[in-house]
Amino acid sequence: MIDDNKYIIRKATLNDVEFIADVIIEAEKSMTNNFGLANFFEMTEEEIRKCIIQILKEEVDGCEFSLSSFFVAEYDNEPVSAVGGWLEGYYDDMPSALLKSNLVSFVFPKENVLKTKDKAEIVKALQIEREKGTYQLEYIYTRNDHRGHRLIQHLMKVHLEYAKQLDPNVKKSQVHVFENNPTSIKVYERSGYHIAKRFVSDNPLTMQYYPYNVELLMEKELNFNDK
Amino acid sequence: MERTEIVGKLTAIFNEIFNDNSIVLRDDMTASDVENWDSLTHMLMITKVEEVFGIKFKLKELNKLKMVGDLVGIIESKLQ
Repeated sequence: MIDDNKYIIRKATLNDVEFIADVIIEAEKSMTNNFGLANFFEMTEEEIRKCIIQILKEEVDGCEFSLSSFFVAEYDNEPVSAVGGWLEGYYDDMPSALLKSNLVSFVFPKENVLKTKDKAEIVKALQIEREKGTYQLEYIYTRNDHRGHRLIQHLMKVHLEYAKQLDPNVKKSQVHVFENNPTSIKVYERSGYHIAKRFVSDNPLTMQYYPYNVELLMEKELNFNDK
Repeated sequence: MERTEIVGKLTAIFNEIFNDNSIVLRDDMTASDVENWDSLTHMLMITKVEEVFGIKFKLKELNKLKMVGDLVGIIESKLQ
């Protein structure tokens, strides 16, 4: 029997890298068995997991592959849920997309990175640009046995409190979700996010690299100064 | 390697990766000045630069790259 009072919310540390790598992989699959990154880089899930662990250990701030972006919920000394988030462009004015790409090109095998060249066009339609100055949420996951305890909502709330500390003038938070994941969409809606834009890929090959061919941009307006 | 030779090779990489043969590199050029310069093509460009010049960037070097001029400068210093 799970006791809700035993959850502890904290920032992720180097001890959590294995769990955070699982969070990233499970979130990438978005409730499907389709791990697009493996197809994209022509690597196995285990090989990619090792690269992600190495990337997290580099401790670069400001993107979805940053260990410092994650808050975790811990139960009995074990991480069971995590949500990543960062203020876009906050670190040295660098877009998170480039920080992430730098990490991938630094860690992933060169031959596998170069294998993605012909696939760039296919995945382009679902690449959503991240708006500078917004608080981005990415990679959200709760272990099966801890679902239904509102951990995601709680972690998202902690993220927005953190956003306020970083910059009280932040006006918006954004999250991306695939349309085939109504459970997550409902969780975000309950936390005050609404669908701002729908991105559709007509390319039949898209499903080889993404869990679904429609991705939603959800937004929540923030107004810390009025509170 | 002379700076002009570096810029020449870099231009060929940019033409190929960003799929635009009309790109003329300027030191103050950034990702927002080049169409198709996104997370994917950035990753490919960095990897291709390392391959063509036979160098390996440090992560800190990559995270300081803001303009094409920075990239040329780092390549130059690594080849010296």
